[in-house]
Amino acid sequence: MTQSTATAAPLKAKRSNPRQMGTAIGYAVLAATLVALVLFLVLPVSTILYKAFRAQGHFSLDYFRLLFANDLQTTAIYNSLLIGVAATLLCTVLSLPLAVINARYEFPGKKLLTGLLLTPMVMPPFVGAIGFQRFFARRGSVNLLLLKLGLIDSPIEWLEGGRVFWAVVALEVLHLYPIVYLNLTAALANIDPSLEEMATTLGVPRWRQFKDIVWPLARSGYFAGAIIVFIWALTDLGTPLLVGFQETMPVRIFNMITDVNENPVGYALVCLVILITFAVYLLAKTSTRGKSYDMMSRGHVSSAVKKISAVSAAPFYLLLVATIAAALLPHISVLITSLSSKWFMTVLPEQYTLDYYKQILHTDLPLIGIKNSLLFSGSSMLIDLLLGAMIAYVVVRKLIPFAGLLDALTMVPLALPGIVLAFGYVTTYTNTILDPFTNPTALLIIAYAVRRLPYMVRSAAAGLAQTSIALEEAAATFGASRFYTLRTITVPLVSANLIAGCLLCFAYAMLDVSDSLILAMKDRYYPLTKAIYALFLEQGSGEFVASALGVVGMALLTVCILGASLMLGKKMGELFRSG
Amino acid sequence: MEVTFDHVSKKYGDVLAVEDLNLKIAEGSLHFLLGPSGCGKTTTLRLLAGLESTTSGRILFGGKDVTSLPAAERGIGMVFQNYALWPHMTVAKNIDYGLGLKRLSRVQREQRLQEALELTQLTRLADRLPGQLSGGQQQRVALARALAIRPTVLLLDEPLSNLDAQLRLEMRDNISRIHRQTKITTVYVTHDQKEALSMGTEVSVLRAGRLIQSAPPRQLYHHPETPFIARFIGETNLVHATYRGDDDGHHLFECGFGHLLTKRPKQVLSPGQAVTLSFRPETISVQVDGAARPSVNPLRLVLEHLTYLGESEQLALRTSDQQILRANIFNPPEHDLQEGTVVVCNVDPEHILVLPVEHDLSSGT
Amino acid sequence: MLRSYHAVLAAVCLGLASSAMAIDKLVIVSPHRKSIQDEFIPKFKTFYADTYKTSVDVDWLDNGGTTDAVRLLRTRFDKSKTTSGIDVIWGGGTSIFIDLEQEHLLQSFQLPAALASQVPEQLSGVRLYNASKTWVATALSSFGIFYNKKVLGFEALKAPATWSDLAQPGFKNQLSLADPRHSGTAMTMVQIVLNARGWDKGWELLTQIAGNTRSFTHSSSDPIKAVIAGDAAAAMAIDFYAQPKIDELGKDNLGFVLPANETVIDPDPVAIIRGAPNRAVAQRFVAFVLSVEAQKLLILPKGAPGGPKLASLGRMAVNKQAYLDTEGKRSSAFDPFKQSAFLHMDVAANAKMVHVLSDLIGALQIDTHNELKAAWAAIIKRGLNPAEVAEFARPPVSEKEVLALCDQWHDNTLRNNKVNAWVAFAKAKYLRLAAH
Repeated sequence: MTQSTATAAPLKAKRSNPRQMGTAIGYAVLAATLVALVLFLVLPVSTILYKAFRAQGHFSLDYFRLLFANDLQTTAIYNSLLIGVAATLLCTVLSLPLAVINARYEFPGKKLLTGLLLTPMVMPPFVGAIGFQRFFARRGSVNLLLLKLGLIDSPIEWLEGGRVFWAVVALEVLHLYPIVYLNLTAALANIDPSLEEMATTLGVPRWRQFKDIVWPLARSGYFAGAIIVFIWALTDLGTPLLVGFQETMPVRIFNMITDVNENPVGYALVCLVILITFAVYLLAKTSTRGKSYDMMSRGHVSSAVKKISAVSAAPFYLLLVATIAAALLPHISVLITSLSSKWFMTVLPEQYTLDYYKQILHTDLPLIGIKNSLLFSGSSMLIDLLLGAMIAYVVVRKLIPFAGLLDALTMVPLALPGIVLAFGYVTTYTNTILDPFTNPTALLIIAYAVRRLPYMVRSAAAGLAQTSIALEEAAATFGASRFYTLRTITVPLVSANLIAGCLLCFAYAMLDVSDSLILAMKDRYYPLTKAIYALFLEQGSGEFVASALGVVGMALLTVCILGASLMLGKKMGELFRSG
Repeated sequence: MEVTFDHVSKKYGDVLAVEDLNLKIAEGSLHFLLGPSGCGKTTTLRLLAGLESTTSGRILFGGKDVTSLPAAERGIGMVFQNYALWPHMTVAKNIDYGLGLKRLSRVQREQRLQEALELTQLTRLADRLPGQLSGGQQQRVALARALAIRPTVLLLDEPLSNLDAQLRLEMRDNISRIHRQTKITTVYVTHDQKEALSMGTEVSVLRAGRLIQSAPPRQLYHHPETPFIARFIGETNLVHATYRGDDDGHHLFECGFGHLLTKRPKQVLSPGQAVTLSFRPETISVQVDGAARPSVNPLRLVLEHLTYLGESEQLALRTSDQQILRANIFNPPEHDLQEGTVVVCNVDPEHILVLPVEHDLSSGT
Repeated sequence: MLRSYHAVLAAVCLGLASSAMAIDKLVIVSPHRKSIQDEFIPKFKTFYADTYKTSVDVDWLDNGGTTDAVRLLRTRFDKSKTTSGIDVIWGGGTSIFIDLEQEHLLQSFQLPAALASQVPEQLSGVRLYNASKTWVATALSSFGIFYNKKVLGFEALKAPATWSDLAQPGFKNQLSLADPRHSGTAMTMVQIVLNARGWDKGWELLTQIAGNTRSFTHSSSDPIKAVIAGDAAAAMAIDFYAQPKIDELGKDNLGFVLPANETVIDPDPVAIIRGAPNRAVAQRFVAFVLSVEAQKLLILPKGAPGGPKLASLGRMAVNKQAYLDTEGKRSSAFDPFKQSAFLHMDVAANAKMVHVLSDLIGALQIDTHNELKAAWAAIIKRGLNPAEVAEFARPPVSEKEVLALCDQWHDNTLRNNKVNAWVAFAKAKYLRLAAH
């Protein structure tokens, strides 16, 4: 480029005021974020949910009245809330020791075991369902084994009566505990170890140190994970459908709005779920308001990690191995299914074969699926990183009025049934440049991003809440603009939380089913999950071929997560506190 | 409470952080552990606190072996370098939290809290959260919290390192005052020799995990046992020299730029033995008026650089073998010394210290 | 900059080049499984190139199930009154097509004379295409009972042969059924029973079967899996779902029966959508799907000459000639054109009633299933008193009333008021019977 004096002058003038420019860019990004939320969350959802308020062509609240007039719905609401509470409590009980072990101890094999703890993140739940039925059917593998061993005389009904509820809760916990575990580990990593040491010198017993010092400081991180688990368990459709627990809100909604003759009361129930989500979220937030504390400084992280021998780590091994074993059960069952050539009412298949792998490798389905999944999930993760960090920053530092409302709004995607957002997109963007009918790539990436935005916002917000604003102010005194500071000071400080958020966003985007099902209509746009799903529905060898592709999918996600850990090296180590 | 280290060592893997430490800390003293970063002083303090366990050796509190006693049962109060204030508790709660674990009546507890607040002049800030306090105030909270439990030994880990220079001076006085008032045996870790010299009743200098010398500040300054200490405590000129024998009640040393005579040899020397000579900048006298006076160690040096500071002048002088010696002149008379000219100096043989040769003089500064 | 510009240019040129080669285009939306797509579309492309000397690009849209496909269609018509941008909808059961026709979303289409002679208007009383010729059947399926012989053995049960067998108390907790609100298959079974037995007797049978059912599944393929996994002894299933599993796992283990005179054959239609952008290609496609060559894909086993390449589809064809041409080579000897043991159902009446019926079934049997099961268990325990069984099964509305409601069912307030009342009615009744 030739540079004349005429062009150089304005350039210089601009450069002389980088601070204002940075601020301007920052607010532009913020404005764009808000516009994106309106365009891709508020608008499409309202185009669907307005049906809840229209009866016979007029505005009406009839459907809400009808909703409460039917005691099936009230039972469903009650059951769903109970599932949410139970799943959250159990996730907490399970994740807390796991996170403490990861953050505070070093022992042989820790890296491998803590890595394996994340296995639920590499398995699409519906793929796990294939194995679930094989194992827990009345004459499934587990009962057959117990019968064979003479431990029981007649098959145990795993999914009868009250057991169905606990089956749902158990499956939710096994699927969701990594969310609490990751957030809690990041929160513990942020706590200055000298805070506990000080208490140790005062003679505060370990449990009281935990209760009075560690817990209050890790609470924002815990809350970040727990609220997601609660809302997820509250609104999860797949699991109750799988075990046949009909009396939950998501199943009721699903039944009403996927009925060939859709029932608008279903949309009223969606509105109610969103309201409940809002209320629960705000309630939980108010109860922890003013209770998030930043770390003024951080001590030497290494001193917090206690090295112990394999022998004294025995109880840790027991807990880790038991958790991993339970979490790996679906993976193993899928692997076995993909290899079985004949499996009829025996504990394990009678014959094994590699045919199903040959079958899928001869088609271009895996390749297209892998390519699309990586593209969609990777791009959506980057969008989440940008939007999520931005929103969290605005919310935590209260840069705009009604920041709390923005915060709650980002939680809405968690409460939305998959079909509502996806069809909202179809309705809103048909015959526009984004029409999924022509090419769904853009909308799929956006849908993935919007749906996983809560994980990133919560993770980033937890990190920011633990980081002192003084550190930013210090940078500001050097004349750094707010957004320059954000980039150079704040983001590096919360990198552990951002990485945790990215991992969750990426992995759960890779496992997406509902958006892909509706938006990725043509097979050249299929992500891996939809390819697996399409095969799964096939009669004959469908579930076996789907399992084989499911194994390919798990391998891919495992490689991605391992790759990320290699690439991030120390950062990841900081997160998992194992290296 | 008298504190004793008896052959204490601490290893991290293969790294020896503290090596065979033997030290007695007198009851009621304000004892400094001084050394450059990485010398093992913080580890020593943490061993004392019971936050780390010794690899070998014993730690005694007033004759009682506390080596395997947990931190809580040692009766120590600790101030961390970053203060380790609990950000979710108010000043009062931070201080009171430790008291809550002692068997104290409500009245006693309240009384102790008020005492600690008054001692550290924090009474007005009792209801604030740490995040709302200045650095100095936070430091005082940390101190109050450690004092409130009436420890038998108070441990301070670089308590002033996060403060600005002005505040640091203020806090030095504060801590000294509190120590005088409470008479608690205090162990104070720092890398700042001025802090150690100005406040300490005794100073232990550590280097690479080893105790080099332990002495009251004056003795440490005037009688360092190694070149390292001579350099670390205050400023000094170190010169390699060889002992050549006695001459008229003086010891005669040969160095790169001539001969130096010293008095009061501390150790028995044999001719040809290599030593390090140390003399402080203020012990070099410069003849500013040019008049020749008889002297024992006359030196002709080139004035390399002169820094005028009002009440004193600092001179950098180059020897014939290109070593730089530093001299300080206090209350200098008016003169017209020019940089680059030769000046006549004298080093008082009384003030030249004969120290053993150290392998690496450059390290540890 | 320059480089990326070149790249764009190259891409545009390539795009133009490829579209210059494939002038013709076709957009199909279908809830059909991938196997249908994988067999029919490549064959259609080859056929098209050979016959019309030009290639064709086919966009196969799969956005979930039948409901989703219909919803997509409606959404696109909401945005543009003239065209949806989609040419063909294929598969999903007749009732959907009847709905779409009433919404005037379909385009009528005259079959070529040669085909018309091979695809009759009716087969065993089932219409293969409708009077206005807006849709035409492309495949047929029948409904029967799929069972696990091992589980029957464990439970000392005889293999079921009729729907009534499934109502036996011995089958308590041994059945797996799909939810008729989501599964066209399950809804068809309800309609079969109601048509074959009449309203009152039909409900009695359906309610007893519901009492024996472990759970209503969402997908119509889940009951098959439940039977294979040993979760249930028997399930209601479509022939082409059941047959491949029997082939795979053995006749000793699994069985399938079509209840004599009490099953139907169900057509699976295709239709051209109003305002189809590629109407001519769409007509060629429909004609192709009905042609002997294409129909052979449905009935020949995998690998047979002219048959499917990847997997047997196991369906019945609608083209008579296809059966004549494949005598002795088919997967199943069964030829629907030679059977008369099928139930005659009034498809139009059923289609009219389907929305009310599915809400009624939902309220009486599925949403109140736990209470229903408890009541049924209590009734069995008390010795199956006929009066109690009748009360247990009696619906809150008569067939006439249901038919009357059909016209008002678009009023969602009225609809939900009714549904709530039915739920309350059913719950109260079941609780009363359980508590006796």
